[in-house]
Amino acid sequence: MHPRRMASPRLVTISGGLLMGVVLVAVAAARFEPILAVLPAAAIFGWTQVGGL
Amino acid sequence: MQVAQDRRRWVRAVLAYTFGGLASAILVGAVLGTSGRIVGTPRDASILWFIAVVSLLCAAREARWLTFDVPQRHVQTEPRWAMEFGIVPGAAMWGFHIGLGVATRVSFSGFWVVVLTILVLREPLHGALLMSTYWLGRAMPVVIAPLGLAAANGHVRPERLQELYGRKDIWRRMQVSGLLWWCAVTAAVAAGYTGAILPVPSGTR
Repeated sequence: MHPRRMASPRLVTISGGLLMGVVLVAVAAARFEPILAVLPAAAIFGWTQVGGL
Repeated sequence: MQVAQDRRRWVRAVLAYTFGGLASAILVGAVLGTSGRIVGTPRDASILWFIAVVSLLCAAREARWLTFDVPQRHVQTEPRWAMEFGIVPGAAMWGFHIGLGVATRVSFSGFWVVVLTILVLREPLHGALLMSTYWLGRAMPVVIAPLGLAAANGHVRPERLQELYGRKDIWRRMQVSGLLWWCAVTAAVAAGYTGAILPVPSGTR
């Protein structure tokens, strides 16, 4: 299988949508605590753990 | 009928896994935030600059420019729980175990940057939010893999999963991106403590 065709467009769309959701939460949370702008990075850290196993 | 039953059982197992991990992640985040408050970890520009530097060093590690070990237990969760207790309770137990963060393997350094930041924030609610966001990111591949990697009959082909999970170069690049973002945010907030960029949260000077 060609690596570029591993993930379907639906997977990419859903992943992108989830990340956008986290970004929106981060923007809202950062109004109260600026450091919480790191929330999307926290989600990415969790996501990538599965790739390190 | 059998396919529908299998699908329902899969949905229940995934929900149990996700909420099991969410429970332990919220608990760990709240405990870390409370610990920071009890210990009285300093919250000033210098500690935030320290976190920014640590993030940068971790990004260099994931980019293979530096080499150092990160604290971790070299174990995975217990596969026998599903056989002993059933797939759904077993999935909940797996989720709770893995959601603790420190009980199983930590492949990349970003997790410890999250922990360090929670200790500095000294706020249980923010700690719970950060750790639960980390967990939800970790649980998402389990939830969405069938959506994008399924064959025409709806089953996920194991070789496709292995191929995707084996692409460590992709995961490392994502870690580097996240760590650079973390460095930029903490540096910006640290600079804000001097009034340069962002407003200072009340009660933190």
